[in-house]
Amino acid sequence: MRYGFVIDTKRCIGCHSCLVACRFENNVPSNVWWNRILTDGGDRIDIPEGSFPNVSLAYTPVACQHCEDPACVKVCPVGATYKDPETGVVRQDYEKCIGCRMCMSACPYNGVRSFNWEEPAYHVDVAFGDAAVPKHQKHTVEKCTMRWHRITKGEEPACIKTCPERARHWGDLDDPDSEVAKLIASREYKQLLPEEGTRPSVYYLV
Amino acid sequence: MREKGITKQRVLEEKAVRSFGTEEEPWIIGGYGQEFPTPSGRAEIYCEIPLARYDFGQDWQSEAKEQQFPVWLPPYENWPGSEAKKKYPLSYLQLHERWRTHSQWFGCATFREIDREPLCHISREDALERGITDGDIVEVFNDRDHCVVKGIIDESLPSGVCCIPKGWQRYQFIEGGFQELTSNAVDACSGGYAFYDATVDVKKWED
Repeated sequence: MRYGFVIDTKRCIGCHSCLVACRFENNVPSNVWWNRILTDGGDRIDIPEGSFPNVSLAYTPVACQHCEDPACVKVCPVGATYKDPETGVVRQDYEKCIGCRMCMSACPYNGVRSFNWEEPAYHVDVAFGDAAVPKHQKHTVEKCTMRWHRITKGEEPACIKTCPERARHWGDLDDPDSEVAKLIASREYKQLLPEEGTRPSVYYLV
Repeated sequence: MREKGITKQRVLEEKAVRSFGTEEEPWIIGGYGQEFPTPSGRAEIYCEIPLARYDFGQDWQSEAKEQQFPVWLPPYENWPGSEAKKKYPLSYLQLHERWRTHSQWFGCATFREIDREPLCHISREDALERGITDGDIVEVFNDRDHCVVKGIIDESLPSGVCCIPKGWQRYQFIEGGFQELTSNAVDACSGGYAFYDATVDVKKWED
């Protein structure tokens, strides 16, 4: 079994709903995002590529790539970052994490992991999302869990459920009958930084 | 949908199915083939005596004579050859962005982590002409007032157009606000405002 995401870049409108759903589901602290929407061709959101009138606008949602061969796992000195052998999900154990941030420097996908320099802070006084989400901790690294607390109970990640364009798909890439496997079998796709040899479990339909 | 009796089969057969309004109370004036409440009972394009939609003391009577038929009127400012356009060459639009519903959510702390501050979008050509680079603080101004914001180069804009997305509050600007620049010229009869009917110029802000 290898859980992964298939994101249809032809359908993504950059609405950022997946970010917001992720943040609320996982009670992600202020100024931390486990998922981001990059506007292709630049640093600014919604500014197109090219020059007027020949412009194009496209988005690449980027979160942990849950690699088959994760660079982060190799460097973690305490085994806090590990790949779940059954599902292929790259996990982060806050209890074991010593905050060395080796995983962050080893990971070629900048910004998918974040480090809580301070005690995690929130815009509101109450915790949001699922009570099963582990408490966010100071001096630990955190990232996309693929909604571990729910996928293990047969549900799908929050970012999948919320996507209004049905651009995001999730499932078992090893199962040829799964929606994700069928999509990558039938459509042209790309992966981020294939030259890094990490073999990501996130596929972008192009 | 199903509770309201709307099924795929009905849509296929009837082409259009309405979920609200009855023959006694149509969804719109003239609905279900009812007569319009006009002398002829039909839609009337010609209006003998146009009235002002809102009477706030303006002289609508003199304009009403010109509006017995629907008329097209040129923009007051944002039109080639207008005095305003000669003085302030950039059309000024107030984009509706994904982060807000009009002004709602301007104070949403979560969104403000992503969309941090008001931005003035200008075309590459206009920026180059004015010595503005992406991220410079700029002053947007016309005869009415000014505002000061961060300027960014937006490749989607043709030269001659700039915009500040709407919904931001004055405290979020370095100075002024985006509505300082819009016109309050209003059509005397219809009471309609055209917010995009405004021209401005932009320059690098030197405090």
